[in-house]
Amino acid sequence: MIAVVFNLSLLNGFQKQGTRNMVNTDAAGGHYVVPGFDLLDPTQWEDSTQPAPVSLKRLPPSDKAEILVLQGQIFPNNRLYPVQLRGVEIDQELLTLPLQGLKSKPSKVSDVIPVVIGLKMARKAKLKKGDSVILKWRDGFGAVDALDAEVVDVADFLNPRIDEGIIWMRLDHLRQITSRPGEVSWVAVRDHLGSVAEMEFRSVDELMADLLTLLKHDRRNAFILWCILMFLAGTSVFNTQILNVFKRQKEIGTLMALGMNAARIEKLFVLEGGLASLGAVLAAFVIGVPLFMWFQQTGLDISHLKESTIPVYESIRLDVRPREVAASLCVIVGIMVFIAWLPVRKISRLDPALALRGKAIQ
Amino acid sequence: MKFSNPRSTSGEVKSFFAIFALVLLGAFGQGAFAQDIDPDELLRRVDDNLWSQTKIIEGRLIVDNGRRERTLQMQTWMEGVERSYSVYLNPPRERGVKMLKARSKLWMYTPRTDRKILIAGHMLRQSMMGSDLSYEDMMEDKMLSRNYKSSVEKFEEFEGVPCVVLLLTANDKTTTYQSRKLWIDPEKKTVLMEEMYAKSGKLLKNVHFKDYRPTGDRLFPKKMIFRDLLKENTKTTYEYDSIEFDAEIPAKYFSQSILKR
Amino acid sequence: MIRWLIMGIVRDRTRFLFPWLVTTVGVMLMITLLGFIEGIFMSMVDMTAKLDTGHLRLVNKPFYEEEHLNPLDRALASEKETKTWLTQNSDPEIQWTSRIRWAALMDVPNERGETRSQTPVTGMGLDLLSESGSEIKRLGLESSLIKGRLPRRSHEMLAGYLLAESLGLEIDGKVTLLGQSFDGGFAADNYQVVGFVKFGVAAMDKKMALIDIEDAQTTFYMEDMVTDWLGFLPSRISIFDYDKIRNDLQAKLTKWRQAPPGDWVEDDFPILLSVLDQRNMGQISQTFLMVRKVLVAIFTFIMSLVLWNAGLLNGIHRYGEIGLRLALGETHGQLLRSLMIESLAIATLGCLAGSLLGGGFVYYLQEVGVNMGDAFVQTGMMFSDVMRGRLSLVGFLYGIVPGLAASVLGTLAAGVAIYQRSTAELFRELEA
Repeated sequence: MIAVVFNLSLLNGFQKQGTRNMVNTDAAGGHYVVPGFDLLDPTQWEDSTQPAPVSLKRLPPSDKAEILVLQGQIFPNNRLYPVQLRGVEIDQELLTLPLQGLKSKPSKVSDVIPVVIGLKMARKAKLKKGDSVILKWRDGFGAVDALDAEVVDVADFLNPRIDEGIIWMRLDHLRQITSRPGEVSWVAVRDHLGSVAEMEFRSVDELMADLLTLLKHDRRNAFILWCILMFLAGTSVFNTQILNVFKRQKEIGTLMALGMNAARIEKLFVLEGGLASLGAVLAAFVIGVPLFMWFQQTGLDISHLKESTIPVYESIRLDVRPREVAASLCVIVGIMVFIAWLPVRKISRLDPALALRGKAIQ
Repeated sequence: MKFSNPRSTSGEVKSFFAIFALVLLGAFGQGAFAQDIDPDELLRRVDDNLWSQTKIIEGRLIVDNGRRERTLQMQTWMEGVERSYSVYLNPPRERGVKMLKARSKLWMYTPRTDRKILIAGHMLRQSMMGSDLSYEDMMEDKMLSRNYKSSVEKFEEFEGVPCVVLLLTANDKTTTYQSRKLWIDPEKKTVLMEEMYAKSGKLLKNVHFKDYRPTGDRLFPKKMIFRDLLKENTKTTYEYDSIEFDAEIPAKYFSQSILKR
Repeated sequence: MIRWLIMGIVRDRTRFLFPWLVTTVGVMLMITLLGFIEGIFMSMVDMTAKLDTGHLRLVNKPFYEEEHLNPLDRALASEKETKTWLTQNSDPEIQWTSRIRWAALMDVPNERGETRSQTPVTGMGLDLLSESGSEIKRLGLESSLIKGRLPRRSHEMLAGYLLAESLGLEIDGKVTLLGQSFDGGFAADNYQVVGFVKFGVAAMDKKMALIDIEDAQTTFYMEDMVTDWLGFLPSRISIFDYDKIRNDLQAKLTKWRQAPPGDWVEDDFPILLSVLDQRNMGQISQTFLMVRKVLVAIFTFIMSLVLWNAGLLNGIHRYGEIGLRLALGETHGQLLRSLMIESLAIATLGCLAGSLLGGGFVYYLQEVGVNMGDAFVQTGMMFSDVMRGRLSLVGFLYGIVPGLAASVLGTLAAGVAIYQRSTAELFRELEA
């Protein structure tokens, strides 16, 4: 039982961490997007910006993050590399992004633009911390502009989707160098705030559609795993019950001799089995809770996943969902009671006389 | 030609230029005094030399990407600054490809597809045929004197020719290159070299104008070499074989109906 | 003695049947489960391999380094010669196929033939027209086609369904690709869109178009040139052998580079990569290994519990017999040993049966797959509607070793009870 709950919770934890990383670093509680904006269509980015609506601007930094996405090019080793310039409000507290390096920089760009890139991007573009690279872009009027960008940090963005091909910078910098004061491509928000004029809301589900499909697959696999575990646990209970009947045939015989009919004895045994499984639940609780608590503190270290494309890598913590636990417990107890009943049927066929002598079952 | 009416710059700058010019004069021992140069007028004269109401030009575009060199031969009809029409003559593969530009739109026609394709907006910023020029660069054949304010930056010898270096600043924020520098031979009113800068002042591209030849009453460069300075080892050369100024060009050359087989 | 033991096992059905069944089922489940998760993991690897990287990939280094730009001018020449070299020098089981990754502007005309809509697309040129249809099968194109048909003639194209949506493409409509040829020239060609496909990967559904590789060579003037050689290994070869296979071939490649085909350019430098070298598959495989470890641990634990249980049952079932044997003078140790040997024998038989059954089941999953079609109709994803298992030696080991261990451990745990019986009470028990 512990195993079942553990397994489910571990998987939940994995998934939750995955989604949470997506949510924390990118999706938040959804995006208010400039209508027509499509992240997969870079040529249209600069047409899909507009000043952030006042209603969203007013939100505290913990509830929204304004983001501007534009096309740019870098030239590492004099080779062209098209990139996405992503400007994020530096004071926002909604998304967890490793942009501390940019915080201390002045809000005006002078000769060098401080930028942060991800590990993958760094490897791909052959850049490292402290390197300078020429960055070229178009401002809001269409004029070409270029400056040196200094990589102030090569950081680990838990989420690979926001790593490769992206140059991160302060929103005020991006707005300044592209002459787009106050403009955004989208505003990530903590909660859906109803419709906002001239913005289109995209929910977390829409933003993470493909990840969620993947997780659904995982759920299915978890279910299969669950079935197998159940089977094993079931066999075990079945066994125990056979053992039970075998060991207690004298008792059964006695009960029969005292006038209890087979059906009642069966009920008695099933009841015992049921109680035992309840006891097991209790035991699982007693053993499981400290175990889980311990696990919650340590976590499953999967830091070696750092560079995978799954947006999870810190320690995985269990995500125990009460409803799910309750549901699986109910199912488990139900199945156990049923399995406890199966071998007990034998009782009805017992010869009380033999049973009394302990020789009814061979 | 007269260099009068200098644009008033700040006293400091002027005196700096005066001193600088004197130094240069000492060195080259010839002609133009800084005060005598009206940069705007000079730029207009340069434009006059390079521009005419209509032009028919046949030439070759040599694209060298550092690994391979390709030569495209084409014929171009131009009218004013906004309309031009080109047909590719060589290599055989590109023969019959036509390009028509009018205002900010570019249509391409290829015989293989028998279609005219409109290239507009951001697509214009792509490099043209792998060259160091974008479609936009090709189309932004604006008359410099109309789009930029100019000032004399310095005097400098360029490839043995004493030059005035003009700094051009765009009048309009939408101009692609917000500033340029021209190395102009003030005697001949010819540009020897041009540099294009980003808004921030970073140097992006340069063009060498070479082999000026007298053509009618003008001097026209036989060769222009474009370089994208952010990229390595690449250059694109345009070389004309024949050129005709102020020729009569029938209207059909600039109509979409010419984009046919 | 041994014969006696065997006879005992064989004749006493209850003594044999139950532990045997548990071991069999346990081992079978373990092997199935491991085969299954390996199958899931491998299907992910395979999907990446099929769509993108191959299990092995021969690519020109300059191309690979600027992959994000699709630099066709860095493609690798001498397609035919390369093919011959690959087939002669690599394991005959590796299927090699060539592809071209290209990028172009896709332009859709209106009824007057003027531009109606356009967008940059990335595409793949692959063998869509040959008799064998191996690439079509590989990519599962037939099942991921959601409208239209597969290409039958040259200059026919498949487009991602979201791309089709955003450009307003119609089946049998004409589109023009406008791009750069391999030598930086102008490439433009017309295609007829004959089908829309759903890859299940948003980025591909929105931007991907597939054309036949020969068409790609015509359109981009890449005669006898391709950008990629992808090698596909049969599914029974473990992913962890890929690196070795790559290294073997790499060694031969180094030699070949010293006398390269005439059409290669000076700085052409083909390299070999395995799928694990790309798209972070190496890291993902680490996760997989970890998950597998956790699973094996949990299962060994539970199976031990069950077998312990069975051992107890056995002990009680044979309570009398053991009592008798103790009474006849066998020592506790001897008895335990004989019980262990018995259980080991039973476990071995169980493992054998379990391996056969589990292996058979996984083999079925591997070769046929279970169609989960119904549940996934709405996602319409490539590959994912058929679940496949994967047979591997490691899977068997992970099933058999815990199976044997659990069985012995279980008996051992149950056997401790033997020590608790005092000889003095034996006869009273026997009398009862």
